[in-house]
Amino acid sequence: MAILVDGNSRAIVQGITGTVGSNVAGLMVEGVTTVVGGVTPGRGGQKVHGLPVFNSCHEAVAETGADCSFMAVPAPFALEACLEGIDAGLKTITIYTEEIPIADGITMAAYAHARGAVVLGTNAAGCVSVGLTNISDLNDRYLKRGPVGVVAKSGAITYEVAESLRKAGLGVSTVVCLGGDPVLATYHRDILERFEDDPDTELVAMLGEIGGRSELAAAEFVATMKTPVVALILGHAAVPGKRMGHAGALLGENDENAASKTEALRRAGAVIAGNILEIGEKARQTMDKVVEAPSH
Amino acid sequence: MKLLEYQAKGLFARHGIAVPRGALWPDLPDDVEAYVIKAQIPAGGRGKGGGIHFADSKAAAGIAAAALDRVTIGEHKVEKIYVEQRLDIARELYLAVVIDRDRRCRTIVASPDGGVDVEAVPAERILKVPVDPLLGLRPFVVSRVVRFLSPPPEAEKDLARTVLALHDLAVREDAELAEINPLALTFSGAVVAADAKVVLDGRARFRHPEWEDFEAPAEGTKFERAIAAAGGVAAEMEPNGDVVAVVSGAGLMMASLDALVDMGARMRCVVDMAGTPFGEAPGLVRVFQAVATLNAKVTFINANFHTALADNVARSMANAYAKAPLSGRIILRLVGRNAEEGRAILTPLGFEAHGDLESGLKAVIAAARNMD
Repeated sequence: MAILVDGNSRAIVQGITGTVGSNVAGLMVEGVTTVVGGVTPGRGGQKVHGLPVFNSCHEAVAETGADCSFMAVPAPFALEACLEGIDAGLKTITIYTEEIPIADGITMAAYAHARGAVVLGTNAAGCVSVGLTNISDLNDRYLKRGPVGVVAKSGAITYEVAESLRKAGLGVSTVVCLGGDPVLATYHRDILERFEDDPDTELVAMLGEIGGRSELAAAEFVATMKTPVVALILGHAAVPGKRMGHAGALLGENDENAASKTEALRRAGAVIAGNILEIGEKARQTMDKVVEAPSH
Repeated sequence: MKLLEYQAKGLFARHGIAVPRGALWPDLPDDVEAYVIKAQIPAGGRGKGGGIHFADSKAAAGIAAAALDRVTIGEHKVEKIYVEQRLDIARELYLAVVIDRDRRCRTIVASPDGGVDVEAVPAERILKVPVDPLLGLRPFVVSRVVRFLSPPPEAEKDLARTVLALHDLAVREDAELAEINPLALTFSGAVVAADAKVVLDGRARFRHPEWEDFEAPAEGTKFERAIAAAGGVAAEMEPNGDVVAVVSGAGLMMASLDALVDMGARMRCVVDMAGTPFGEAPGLVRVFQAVATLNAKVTFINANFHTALADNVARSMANAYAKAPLSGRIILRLVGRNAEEGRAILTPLGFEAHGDLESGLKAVIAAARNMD
């Protein structure tokens, strides 16, 4: 078991004939993912890395039984590609494309929720269940399977989390990267709920950042979780009014800053890491405590 | 992309929202008895800053406008002056359509207390109604907003039309914000947008060829604009800081910044290269050119690539460094596919290479303090 994608997942790449799409498809073919094809309208019948290209998601799903996708189509076509994917029955979609209009992200999120699909993004690195399926731009060769679920907005930061965990002797169950845009189809809480029910995940490493209320909403759920959470909110040294890389990482009004979010998570019972280097050790200590704790 | 008031009012008029008769000086509106003269700057607080004047004749309006020309208000120089009909206002309302990132929808914000900073209005006098993106703005939602604003009966229909039109404008024009403050109810029963604020989502430019008419005011410092042109995102921090951090990805950038500040670094600025421009030599050259102008004591390049090939990135960096050498120490933390080869390419050029994040961070602090 794992969350979002598992050993039975069948992946396609939307925009497979583009530079990014073709690149990621190549990595998928080399790796563990059961990748069954790709979609580029008007290019049906071609092959990329030996994979069949279809004209539409409906064709791809009908022919291959695909149920998840990595999407890297140009921003002007991203909305229709995402809606078509959901309509065709895809259950998990990574929207990798950057610079998608906010309104299109809102429509994607609304349709995904209405149809029970999980969309990561916009501008998300995606998700990988280590050793099973990878619909992200993370290279799963660098990830070791283990009991820690990782959820973050950014993609590259999860490499550092995995590295810190590896140094502490821990591996990863599923990595989920939510994306850097202001409006995201999936927030931290949605992922924590799934990790809580996942028998493969014994601890969650949650990374948040300044801007928005995703981490504050997540804290309410952390308070009810049996699975321990190690948390770190990025951007405590950010300056007000300046965008910290992500379009969504802007110190906003009231409590959407690192101190408030950290405090909310601490009060909810999460173990707080002081910086990115501490995640592994905190996770190790927390797991040892859980093992030592007397059972009821 | 923040529009100036006169540009926003042009959009309002096109979407059927009533605006006062107006003209861009030196033109002046016709058939007007009393005038308002307004400096066009991309900031609020114009009234307090001396950017709004009144006049009772065309001649006086012309003189008042000329007096505002090239004046500096706050940090903005007045380049354009909008002259319009002064309204006979009975009541001032507040109406806006904003993006609610957490509910993932547009939300209508309304208050019967317009004309003041909405932040200063008590919560119970503000109505926020989310609009379901799949349903669109339904009549029952419009009615709820109108009831809350409780206009005189003769203005109800026009107010409902204005709510619909403002939402329609936000959707069709890809506006992140469409705000009317104040929305004036005149003594003659008209509903008129006395002010207009519109922020367009620049990412929707591909479906708005007409946006070429809008000169987007430049945002950020000169350095931040140079990095933006190269495909990255920069934030300047302490003007006398020692350390510039150039990092692959926003999350790693924030993590590096937090750790360095906690360790005592004084940060000059941070740059998020988001991954892609790192692979493209032209973008990287422009980043190095911009960073070189800062003459920082220490430049920290922190890159972690698991998909892109780190040796290719290193070659691009060597090329960029040849075109735009950096004056201070360069601490490089490079990991990922072929990272050893990458570090070997850059070490002879004077880059102090590290594989481990912790040792890279410590090297930056030591270099900034001349401790090594």
